[in-house]
Amino acid sequence: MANPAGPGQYAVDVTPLRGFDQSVSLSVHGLPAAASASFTPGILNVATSGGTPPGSYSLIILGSSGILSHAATTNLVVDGTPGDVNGDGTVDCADLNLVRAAFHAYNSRADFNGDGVVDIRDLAFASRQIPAGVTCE
Amino acid sequence: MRITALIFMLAAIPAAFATPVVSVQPGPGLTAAIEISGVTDLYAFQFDLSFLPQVLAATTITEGGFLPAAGFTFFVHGAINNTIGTISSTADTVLGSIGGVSGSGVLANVGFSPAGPGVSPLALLNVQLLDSRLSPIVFTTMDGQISQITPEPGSFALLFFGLFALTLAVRRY
Repeated sequence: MANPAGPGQYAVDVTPLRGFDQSVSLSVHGLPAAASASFTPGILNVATSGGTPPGSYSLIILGSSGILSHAATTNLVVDGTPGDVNGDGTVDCADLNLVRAAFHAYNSRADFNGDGVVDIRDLAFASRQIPAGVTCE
Repeated sequence: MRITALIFMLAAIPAAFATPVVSVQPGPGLTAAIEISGVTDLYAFQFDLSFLPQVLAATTITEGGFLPAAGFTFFVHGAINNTIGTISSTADTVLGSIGGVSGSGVLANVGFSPAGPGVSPLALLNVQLLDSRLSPIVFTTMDGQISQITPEPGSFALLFFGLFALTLAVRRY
């Protein structure tokens, strides 16, 4: 399970059979939007952001070596509200102010599209979640 | 007293999207208007502005009247750095799941005070325009400049005058 702005980790074991001793490359498929993955020895790290749509996703981890390959599946559950920077369950002016502050002091929770930069694309993403008629200073 | 020459750099822009020129009212300071023309469904924007700090010092940046025509907005004042001559990450967005605004108008107003005689280019950098689906809008930028009167010898009064053209010509594919 992973939170929208928190990393998720999965143990990945590669077990050789019948004398196999070649290197294996790993990849992951099925990630939701605004999420990324990386491998460290024995670990699949999945990073989500506030822009990752909540839901349950089936991840396919593929191990390949030449013409040989093997797949394993696991589940990623993203909860939360898109655009909710402070995690209070709603998107409001407080969240917009946090995104604005992150323009000059990076905050990964405000980086909804997960591109490593907080800018107008993130601010506009959050602002679209604000109910019509609400004003923010 | 001598007024320095004003030269506007004109970019190659299709005639259908000819860019208007914006002038700045003289006064104790200067206000440069960042204007946009020919845009459709503008929901949010961001830009940086650079200038010559030996000539100008930025003092204020305020929201223009164009985007608020769509509804309530949320404005981000850019960070002013008068040492290197930049205003970074000025941004504005409409609030709520509504449409953007179309047409032409002023996105933001930038106030300057004189720092010294000369000519300062005003360059738009890192411009981003988004429509109400949060898709990028293709655009062309046109930079401008501010020229400052050179004071007469013996005069301690630094008179200031400028004209400025800094616009965005926008077209949608």
